[in-house]
Parts: sequence; C-alpha cells; structure tokens
Amino acid sequence: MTTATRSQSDWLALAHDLGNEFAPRAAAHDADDSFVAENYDILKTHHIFSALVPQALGGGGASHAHMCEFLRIIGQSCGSTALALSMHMHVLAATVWQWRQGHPVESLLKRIVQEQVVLISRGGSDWLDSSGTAEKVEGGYRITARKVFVSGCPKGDLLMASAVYNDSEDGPTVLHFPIALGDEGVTITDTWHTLGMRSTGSHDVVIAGMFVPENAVELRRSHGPWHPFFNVVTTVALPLIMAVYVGVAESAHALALERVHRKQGDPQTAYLIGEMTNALVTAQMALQGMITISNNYEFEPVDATANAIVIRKTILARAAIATVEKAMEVIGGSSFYRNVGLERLFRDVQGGLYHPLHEKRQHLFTGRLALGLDPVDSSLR
Amino acid sequence: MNCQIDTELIAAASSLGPMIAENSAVGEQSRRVPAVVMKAMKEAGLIRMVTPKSLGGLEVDPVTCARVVEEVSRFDSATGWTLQAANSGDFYCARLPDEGAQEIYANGPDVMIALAVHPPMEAIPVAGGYRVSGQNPLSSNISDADWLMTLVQSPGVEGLRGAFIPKQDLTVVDTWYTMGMRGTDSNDVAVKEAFVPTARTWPLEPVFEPGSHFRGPLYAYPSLGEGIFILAPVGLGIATQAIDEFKRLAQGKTPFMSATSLRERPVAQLALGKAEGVLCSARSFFYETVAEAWARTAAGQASTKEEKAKLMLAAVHLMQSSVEAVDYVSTVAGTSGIYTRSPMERAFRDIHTVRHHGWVSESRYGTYSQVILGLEPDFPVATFGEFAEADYPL
Repeated sequence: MTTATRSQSDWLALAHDLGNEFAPRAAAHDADDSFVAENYDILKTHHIFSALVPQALGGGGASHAHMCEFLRIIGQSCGSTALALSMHMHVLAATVWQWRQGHPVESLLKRIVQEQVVLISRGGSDWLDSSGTAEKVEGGYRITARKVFVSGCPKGDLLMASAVYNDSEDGPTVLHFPIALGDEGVTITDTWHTLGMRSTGSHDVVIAGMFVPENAVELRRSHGPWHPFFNVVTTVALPLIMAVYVGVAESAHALALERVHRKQGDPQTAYLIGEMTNALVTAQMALQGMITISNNYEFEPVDATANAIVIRKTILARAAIATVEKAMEVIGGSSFYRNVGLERLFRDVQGGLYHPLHEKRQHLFTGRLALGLDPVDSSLR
Repeated sequence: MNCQIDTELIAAASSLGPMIAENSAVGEQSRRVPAVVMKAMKEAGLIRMVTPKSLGGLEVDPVTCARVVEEVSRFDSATGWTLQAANSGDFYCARLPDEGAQEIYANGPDVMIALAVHPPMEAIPVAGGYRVSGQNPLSSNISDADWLMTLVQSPGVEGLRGAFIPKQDLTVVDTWYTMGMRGTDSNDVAVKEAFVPTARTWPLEPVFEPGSHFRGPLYAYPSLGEGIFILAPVGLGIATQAIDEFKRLAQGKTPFMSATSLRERPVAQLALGKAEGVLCSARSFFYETVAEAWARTAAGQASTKEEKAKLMLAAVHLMQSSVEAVDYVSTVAGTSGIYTRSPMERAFRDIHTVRHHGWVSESRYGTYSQVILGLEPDFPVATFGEFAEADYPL
C-alpha cells in the first residue's frame, strides 16, 4: 500500500476539508476532556500519518513546509487535533531527516506507510535529562518511568521513549528506544485535565519494569548537556508544532472580525483590530522564518540553527497569545462564553509557552551562545 | 491610608475564609456560590455593607467595603465577585424616591440586587409606570437575587432609566457556561411585560437627588456604581491567591531540566518579585485614591471630573496589574500550573475573564486620559455620581 501523493494545493485543500469535519466536534471534546479519537480514525483513512514519508518509500512525500501549512490549517479548526498530530509529525520528520542522512530507519518508515503507525513523543517533558530509570539486565534493560505530556497516547502505537542508565564508565546516560503502547507493563493513566488543549489525550504513561532489548536502543547520550541531536529535533519539530498555534491565532482573528460588526460604532475598535492584526502577522512571520530555516531538511544541524529556531518559537508563542487576547478585547464580554468559541482558543493558545525551549530558557540559551558559552548552563542543574 | 476602617468587619470576612475556600470547587462546578456560603456572609453582615443604617444596614465606608471584598476574593474569586455584586445594587437605590427604596428593603437589609444593564430593555409607558421587556446577559447572582436593577429605554425617548424589578417577574436563562468566574451565576435574565411603578425607576443622569435614607456620605461617593471601588479588589484577591500558590509551589518543585528547586532559580525569583511589586504598588495606589475620595466626600466636598477619572484609573490599574501579576507567576510555574487540580489554573482563567469587565478593562486607561485631556469620555458614567449641589452632606 502506498500513500497517495499530493501537490501542495492538494494538501491544503485536504487540510481545509478535514478541518471542516473536525471543527463541529472541537467544543464537545474540550468540554469533557475527551481525546479526538474519531478525528484520528479519519486521518488514518486519508493516510495522513505517512504523509511525510518520502514517495520513494511509498509515503505521501509531503514536504516539511507542506506539513507545517497542513497543521496550521487544521489548527484553525481544532487545536487539539492539530497539536496531537504535530507530535507524531515531528517524530516522523526527525526520522525522515535521519533517512536522508543514510541512517537505518527505512523499515520504520515503511511500517508507518503500511500500518499507519501512530508515533508518540514523550513531548518536551524528557528533553535533555529524560526521566525514569533503565536497569541493566541480561540482553537489555528494565525500564521504570512515568512519562508526562504523552499527546495522542489513546490512539498511539509506538512511544519514542527514553530513560536514564547509570553507566559505570560513562556516568548517567540517556537511552532512546521505542516501545509499543499496547505492551504489558505500559499503562495510560487519566491525568490530562488541563487549562487548554484538553482533547490531545496528553496523559501520563507509566512504564513498569518493561524489558527493552539492547538492540532496540537507538541512541545513547550523556545525561544533561545539549546534544547535537537536539539541533535536528528542534529545527524539524518546532515549526510543525508552532504552526498549530498560528492556526489557533488565525481562528481567533477571524472570529473577532466576524463579530465586530456589533462594535463598529466604538472608536476603539479599529485600534484594537490593528493591534490584533499586527500580533497575528508577527506570529505568521515567525513561523515563516522557522520554515525557511528548516528548509525542508536542508539545514546545518548546529547550535546556531537551533538558536534561530527557538528565538522565533518564543516570538511566535507570545504573538499568538497576544492575538487571541486582543481578539477577546475586540469582542468584549461575550468572549467569555463557551458557545462563542473564543475562550477555548484563549486557553489553547497558552500551550505554546510550554514546548521547549520555555521562554526564559530560550533567553538563556541565546544569550549564552552569543557570549561563546555552552548553550545550556550546567551550573544551574 | 488615613481612614478609619472597620477592622472587625474585615476580620469577620477573613474568619469565613476557610469555609469559603472549602466550598470553592462546589461553586465552580455548580456555577453558583453555595447556599451555605451565602448564609454565612449574610450572618456576618457582609451583604448589607452598603445598605443604609436607617434601613438596618451597616453603611460602611468604601475602603472597608473594598477590603472585605479583597479578603473574601483571596479565598474564592466567585464568592468575592458575588459579594461585590450583592452590595453594588444598593448604590442605585440611592437614586430612587423613598417609596421605591422602602419597597425594596421591606423584608430587611440583606437584599440581593442583581444588575443587568446592557442592552437597555424596552419600557413602554403606562399609567403609573412602565411595562418592561427584554433579555440581558451577565446578570451575576441572578438565582439568589431578590431584585433586578436594569436599564430601560422608552421608544422615542432620549436617555435611559434604571428600573428595579422583583424576582417573581424574572426568568433566569441558563447561559453562564464560560472560561472563568464560573461560580458567579452570571446568567441571562429575561423580563416579559413586567409592570414597574415609576417609584421604582430613576433617570440615568450625572447628578441626582438621593432618597431620604441615602443622604449619608457613602452615597455621595463619586461613583455611579460599584465599578469604582469594589470590583477591582476581586482581581486583587485572585492575584494574591496565585502568588500564594506560586510561593507554595516554589518551595517544593524541581523544574524539568533542572537539579535545583524552583525557589533557587533566578527566573522564579524575578517573576515573584515583579508580581509582588506590581501588585503591591497598584494596591497602594488604589486604596490611597479610594481613601482620598472618601475623605473629600465625608468632608462635604464634591469631586472634580479629574478626581473621578483618577479613581477610575486606580481601579483599572489595580485590575490590569492583577492580570500582570498572575501572568508573571503562572508562566514561571510552568506545567504545574496548567492542570485543573492547581489553584493557579483557576486563577489564570478567572483573572483573564474578569479583566474584561467594562469598568476595569484596558480601554479605561484611555477613558482616564480623555477626561484629563479635556475630551468627552467614551465611558460617560465614569464621571457620574454627584448629589445635586444643594444636597451635599456637610
């Protein structure tokens, strides 16, 4: 089975069609914190989970930029669906990057095409330090961990996890490995009751003594310092993830303009709309900048590249929040009502602050690089 | 702040705090302050702070009112909001003839008056009064209200009137499904051809002659309604809750990517300092300005437009500073603050709801400036609230 190949305009048209299908359900899922399971089923029927896999491997061949736009458009209709999907997409994008470098990931990519495997990221929650322990046993490791922010896990297949192994020679070492979510020893808990992005299914996943064979470990790195791998992850992941928030902000902007006819007599309205629009365009420019830097996997995976991305990530997150805040100000008191839809966008857009690098850490990262220091300050650890 | 405040009443409010906090989640879920809390506030006299003494009320000073609302809001935002709303309606009774006011207080001083002022309802003139019809949103405490105070307009007539309508003529429309301030029961209220006698109406004009029960200085305070001194303290209470929660969290949390606790991290220290600095300075400005206006009023002096605008500035600055303080600490609290189990999550939703109230929204900074720069204010009621000159209390 191969994924249908599409032109850019096809991808965008499909995104709009799917968004129209997802939008009517978004409020109800938000109201009861339920995962957008049926949206995932629909995405599977359209082979979206293999969209980024190169055509040469039977995938959809969508470019990284195409997928950013796709997620932005879905984000306009259902932020949770787009965000959960972006978590699969960013892991897939990093895997495609590896394939392009000649790493042995072809079998995984083909499996994604054939089975529409849903990849689950441990989110930014593990990042440099990871979490959980890996105990050396014969043939592999016993993993004990509690992973948080595991978006999409209710429909997930493969969790790209990590844990810390105390290597007698190298010291604390982070091991990266995939585990199947349906395996014994893996439990999804019911913890995702939050301010926003309530339907992403980002529950905690508990791993209780699960065995991982040695040959399943895909990457070993020192615990703590910035690893070159993160230059890749940051550059391919953040444009995809943050595109969602631009979509949310665009939706808020459109909603405000739709309802503004009631306030046209108010002299402040034009001013507020100007402020709102400036904020939105700032977010859109930041996203476009990130997409340009990631350049469809053609980038230099160095600290400076990651730095350029994370700066724009912070700018985008703040500008997206400002857009939605201003949209609420434009509309006024009716913006609080859930049936208007804007308060959900306000809650959802806050999520942009919580993907790595968090704002203050980004400032520190950027400042340290400018001073010729290591980007991560180990003295604060 | 040079003002004799009722410290006993503030202490009484504070003593209700644990019970209020205990019922906070119930109120949030049911979208209404629990009856046990309302009863306790009535018994403590908190619902009659603005009721005239001659009608059995406490007729306290504005600073005490604001402090009591602040105190209650520290424990539960919705209860604080309900308290300020419950007391604000009494102000409008000052503009009624005695006959109307006495009817409203016929059953005692703990009258709950809900407000719903936009858009104006229709008032058809009939013999002895008006037939009023309409539906308004954002009518806080409507389910517990004994009366509704709404603004009405007659066809072909310029200007608005306030009208008091009894509970039995009201229909509550269940619409209060919102992002924040869920426990305030701010549902829509509908009225259909209710007869309102003229004695229960008043013209919306800057200057008015108070009824005989309302000749004390409290009712000469330079404010049309509650917006000026008891609305913004709700935001202050919310921000105080958020800061207290942040301090608690900072003691125990080790953020991800770190081996040091939150309290040891410079970014957390900066955020807390800024939050407290912003909030404390706005609080000082607010109470100083409220007390100044009270001293003027108690001495029999009317306030100028600029002095009234300054009161408005103090209120809006307190509310917007409360937003800023919550944003500082909630951002640095990180993901601990986004779960619904965290008080921080609720404080964030609540402050970002209440900040948009017309009296204290960011636009009011502009209103202040319009007055100062000699322009007509876009929010004219900001400069209302004067007794007719001859009636100023000495």
